[in-house]
Order: sequence, then structure tokens, then C-alpha cells
Amino acid sequence: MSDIPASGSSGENLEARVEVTRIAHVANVQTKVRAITRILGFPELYIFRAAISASELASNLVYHTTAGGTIRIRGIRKKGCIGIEIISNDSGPGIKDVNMALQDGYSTGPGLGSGLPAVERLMDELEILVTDDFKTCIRSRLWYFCE
Amino acid sequence: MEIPILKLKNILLTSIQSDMNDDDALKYQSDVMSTLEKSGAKGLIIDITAMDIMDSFMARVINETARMARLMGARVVLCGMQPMVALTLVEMGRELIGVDTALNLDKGFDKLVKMINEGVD
Repeated sequence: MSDIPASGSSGENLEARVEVTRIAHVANVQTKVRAITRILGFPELYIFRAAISASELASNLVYHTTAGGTIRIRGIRKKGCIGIEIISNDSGPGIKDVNMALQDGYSTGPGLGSGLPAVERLMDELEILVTDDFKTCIRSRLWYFCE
Repeated sequence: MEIPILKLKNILLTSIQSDMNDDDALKYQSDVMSTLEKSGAKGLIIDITAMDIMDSFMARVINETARMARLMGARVVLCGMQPMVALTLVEMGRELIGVDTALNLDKGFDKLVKMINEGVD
């Protein structure tokens, strides 16, 4: 992958890491995503797309994991594009059936079953990796062409 | 977090924001239901002017509240949706919101009064 981490000018923080164990932490994730996408210069609609996606991933950590997890947010750039990368990591119990999890209306928890499908639609890239020891890593990216 | 429930004639008016957790949602819903019961109100307005991000959790809370209120015999109107919320809600897909809507509180009130008077859903 040829992404270069976006280098913000003095004092701009384009990376954040938020521990998510309770629903109250979801708001922190949203705030961070909004701040970083603003600095990068994303248009308003893209900021909201990223914020909602981050919010869905963070809520999933609260509702579907045993011990919560972390959300990492990073501003990225590639030729002619600015991007935001949101990575969710948790240590179990994992997603049994990734294809099902991406179906509208399918949920094993209290939600609508529209979290991951929404992220898939709102973001440009979505990768879900469940390891043999039931850890889940979800990486999603949103790009905006700015040249 | 206490969400005020205002009574205006025979209508209940509530305004909700994004930063709601499970417990807040549950308390809000039971507050609305008990106020509906006590006041005998015939309609409920859920105002979301202050909500700038609607994720699937908030969509669920709104849908559930509206369904509960309907079961209690009230008509429900959702009003004040921000343009960005509408845009992203449609992009998120599926019928996330199954409630009657109006542009703002003014129009929402008119619509609800009409619904109550005509007895239509």
C-alpha cells in the first residue's frame, strides 16, 4: 500500500486512538473523527460519513465484544486524495459469519443490524479480518479526491 | 441525562440529541410512555433539530419510541432533521426511519394536529 501518512503542519494531530468499552466512549470517537477530517479539509458530507461509520464501529465494540476494544483513526494521503482510516480492534468473541454480518437486518445483538452494512456503504474500503483466536480487526477507509 | 417532555394542548413535545446511551434511551422511552398515559395526550412530536449525527443506535431509539407511542394510541411526527442527517441516513440504506416526518417544529405541529383530527395514520 502506497499511502503516506498525512503530515499536518505544526501541532495538528492527525492520529488518534480511543479505547471503547462503554457507549459513552462512542462520542469521543465521533469527536476525534470530525476533528481530523476537518483538519484534512474533507467536505461536510464526507465528515458525516466518516463520523457515522466510526460511530457504528465503536458501538459494535460495546455491544458485540466481551471486553471492548480500540478505535484508531488516522489521516492519510495518496496522490491527489486525502483519506481517513478507521481501524477497530477487539479481542473477541469474533464474527462467526462475516457475510451475514454485512447483510441488512442481521444482528446477533440489540441493534438494527444495519451498522456494518452502513459502514460498507458509507466508506470506500472495508476489510474485516477475524483471526483464529477470535480477534477481530476491521479497517475502513474513505477517500476524497482533491485535485 | 434528563430529557424534558413538554405538554402543549393535547400533544407531547420532546427534543433529543445524539449523545444518548442505552440507559438514557430506556429512561426517555419510559418517561414518554408514562407521560402519555397520565396526560392522555393524543400526539407525540420528536424533534431532532439538535441531532447532527444519526447512527443506527439513534435510529433504533427513534423507531422504537414511535412504535411504543403508537401502541399507546398516539400519533407521532418526527421533525427538524438536518440535511446532513437525511443525506447520510439514505446512504446508510434500508428503511431506517419508519415515522411520519416534517421539516420543522412548525410544520410538524400542523401535521400532527391534522393527523389527530382526521384520525389517519
